[in-house]
Formats: sequence, structure tokens, C-alpha cells
Amino acid sequence: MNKGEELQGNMHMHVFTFKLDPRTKIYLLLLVNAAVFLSPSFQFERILMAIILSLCFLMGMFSFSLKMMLGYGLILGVHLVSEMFLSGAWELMFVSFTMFIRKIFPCVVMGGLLVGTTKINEFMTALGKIRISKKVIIPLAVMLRYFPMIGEDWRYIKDAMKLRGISPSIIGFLKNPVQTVECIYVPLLMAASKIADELSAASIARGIENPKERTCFQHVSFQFSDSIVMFIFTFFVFGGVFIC
Amino acid sequence: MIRRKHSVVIFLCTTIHYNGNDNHYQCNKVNIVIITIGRKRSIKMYSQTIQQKTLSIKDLITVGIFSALFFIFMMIGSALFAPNPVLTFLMPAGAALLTGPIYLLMIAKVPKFGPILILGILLAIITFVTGMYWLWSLACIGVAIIGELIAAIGKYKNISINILSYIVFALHPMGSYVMLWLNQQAYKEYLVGQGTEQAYMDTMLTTAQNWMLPTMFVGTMLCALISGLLGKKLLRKQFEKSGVLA
Repeated sequence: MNKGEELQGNMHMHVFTFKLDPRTKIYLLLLVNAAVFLSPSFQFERILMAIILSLCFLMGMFSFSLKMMLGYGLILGVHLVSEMFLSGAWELMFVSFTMFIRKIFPCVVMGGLLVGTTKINEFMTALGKIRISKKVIIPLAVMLRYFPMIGEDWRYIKDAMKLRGISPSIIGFLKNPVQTVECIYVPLLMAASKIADELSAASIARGIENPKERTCFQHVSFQFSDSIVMFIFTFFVFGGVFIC
Repeated sequence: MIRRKHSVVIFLCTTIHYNGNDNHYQCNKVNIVIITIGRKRSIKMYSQTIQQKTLSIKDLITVGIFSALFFIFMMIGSALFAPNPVLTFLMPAGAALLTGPIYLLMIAKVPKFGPILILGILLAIITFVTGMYWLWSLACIGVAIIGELIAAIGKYKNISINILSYIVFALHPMGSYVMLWLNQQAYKEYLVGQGTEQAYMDTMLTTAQNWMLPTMFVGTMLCALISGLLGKKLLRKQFEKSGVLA
């Protein structure tokens, strides 16, 4: 996709959905974490999930919010069924497991929203704006960029292992653990250290050491929608804790 | 009254040094001050200054790349256990089992003050953003500070001390399980309210409380030790010879 198309894509998105500042999303995530911790009742959790899912829907993540809704329903279903039909240790095990999942579910959905609707450069700019040190931002950017490359490296390594007649599966690992482990770790770590050298040369050439504040193609600032969403969530969490 | 023999207080002071450019400051000296308070309130103070080279851009990028590998291997290790009601408590051990070599190689490549702390902060950000329980994120940072201090004792060169620091660092997923023990009263009331027998619940929870948490700690530390020894072997056999560490 070239720049023009990307720009058009963004404008297209503006028509149907609304955008939030990454800082707002970070704030909401903190708030949801607090809400889950303080949550007084089951009712409160369900309303919280409903609000989060409708926010996902409004921000244009249709399939994601549907999937999450189904997942939440499934967890509630497992909970109810295990309560009704199981007893003793099994009930305890399943009920505590579903409780565990239910507790982290709102945060997972919120995190998915943050990751799914924020571009990496926007996120970096937002982190820079809340004055997080460059010593954290640079490794974070490199880390996020490097994730897909690990998959690529892994595919090459798997091919090379097959060529040498070492199976990169669990069976191969059980047959010949030491060799398999070495064949995975050594090339991955070697490639990582080599890429670190190349990448640092490249990014110094592109001016990463510039001490001025970084700029971003996307406009990162608070809008009216940010304040509305923040108000609704704050109001619900602190009001709900007392009422529900 | 404190009944312990010694209580140890560790202060970490950083001196900030301006190098002329007002936007760009760097921390170049770390003073570790250890104060022990003995039985009769005798106070002893040891201080050690570690002269630091500052973290360069290359170091930051290396830490970023190794953190990505660390995170992926941690995910692979824990993927087997986390979404399973019976095995979920083995997850910290599984996560610790694969990441040792990466941790050790990262310290070997960047033997300065900072890599472990940055790794901890990055893990905290990732776990927080993907919606894990917030105590996990806090635990990441706390454990990273302790790990960093331990590794600093050996000046980042002593591999046994680095393994020790890894064993401490590997405890970070415990943060999310502590929830079950912290919130136990509410948990118990909830389960009893759902119709489980009170007596049964009590025995179940007390047994769980008595053996589960220590077992998880010990299991995780054991896995971390195995992983660390594997990493030591790999470093000796492969990386030192080939000059990657130079």
C-alpha cells in the first residue's frame, strides 16, 4: 500500500468509526484493571463487558468484538454447566478456572482494542508524550518490529534442520534433546546478535540519536470523543463500585 | 519489634551527569549502599560504586531484540499450560524453562547496568497492554530490580551470579497467581455461596494454600536453574568460541 492509498484508507475509517488517542486507551486499560480488582458483583462485570464490547464495536472492530462476545458467553456457559452438573473437586477446579478467566477477560478485550486500533508509531509518540524515557521506547519499538522476523527466521531454521535430518517437532526433541535444543537456540541467537549490529548501524544513520522530541505522521492529540469516553468509563467504574 | 537477626536495606543511588547537551543526560555511576541493622541496632554500611559505561544505542537495540526473543520463548513455554484448568499452575515453571539462554546471552552482550531492568519494564508493558493481571506487571518490574542488583554484584561477568539473577527474575509470572491467595476470603465466600459444602471448601483451600504456592515457587526456581545451566553450556560451547560476545 502506498502513502496515498493509506491516507485514503484513514479518511475512509474516519467516516464510519471514531478514533481515540492512544493515551486515552492506556488510561481506559488502567481503569478496567482497577474495575476488575474492585468489582463488587457479577452484575457489574457483565455491564463492564457490555460497555467495553460496544466501544470495540464503535471503533470498527466488528469481528473481534463478536468473537470476544462468543468467548465470554462460552466461559459463562462452562461456569453454569460445571456448577450444575459437576461436584466435588472437579467443580472446584472448573469454577475457579472460569473465575480466573472471567477476571482477566475485560482486560484482555481492552488490550486487544489497544493493540488492534493503534499503529506502532502512534503508540511510540504517545509514550513519548507521557515522558517515558527513550531508553525504554527504543527497545520497545525494536521489540515490536522484531516479532514478525522471529517467525521468518524460525521457518528458515526448520528447513535447515530438515536438510540435516533433525526433526524440529516434539518427537524429534524427545529422541535427541540436546542436539535439537542447540539447533534451535544457536542459529536464532546468532541471527539476533547479527541483526542487532545491523539495525543499530541503520538506525543511527537515520538519526535515532536525535535528542529532540519525535514527530509522527498521524496527529496524536486529545479530541472531544476522548473526553466523552473517559467520562463514561470513569463515571461507570467509580459509580458502579458503590451502587452495584 | 523486628525479630530478624539483620534487616538489610539497599539503597540505589544514581548520579546524573550532564554532558553539555541539555536534552541529553546520562546516568554514569551507580552507588549501591547496603545498610545492615544488627541485633543491638548496630548499623553497618557497605557501599560499592560501580563505574558504568552508559548504554549506547546499540545496547538498547540489542536489549530490544533479545526481549522479543525472550517474550516469544516465554509464550511457547507457557502456551501448553496456561489455558488448561488443571495445569495452569505449572505455567510459571514452563515459562522459566526456555528463556534462560536468552537472558544469559543478553547480559553477556550488554554487561552494563540496565538490560535486566529494561527487559522487566518491556515485559511489564506487554503483559499490561495484553490485559494480564496487573500484579504480574508490577512483579516484572520488582523482580527486574532485584535481578539487576544481583547481577551487578558479579559486575555482570560472573555467570553463576547471573544464573542466580535469572532464577529470581523467572519468578515474575507468580504475580498473577498471588491473586488467588490475596483475595481468598472473597473467593471462599463466593464458592460457598454457590452451594459447595463449607467443610469441604475449607480443607480444599487450606491444602491448596499450604502446598500449592511453595510448590510453584520451588518448581519455577528449579526450571530456571535447569534453563540457566543449559544457557551456560551453550555460551561456553558456542558463543564464546565464535566471537559473538566480543
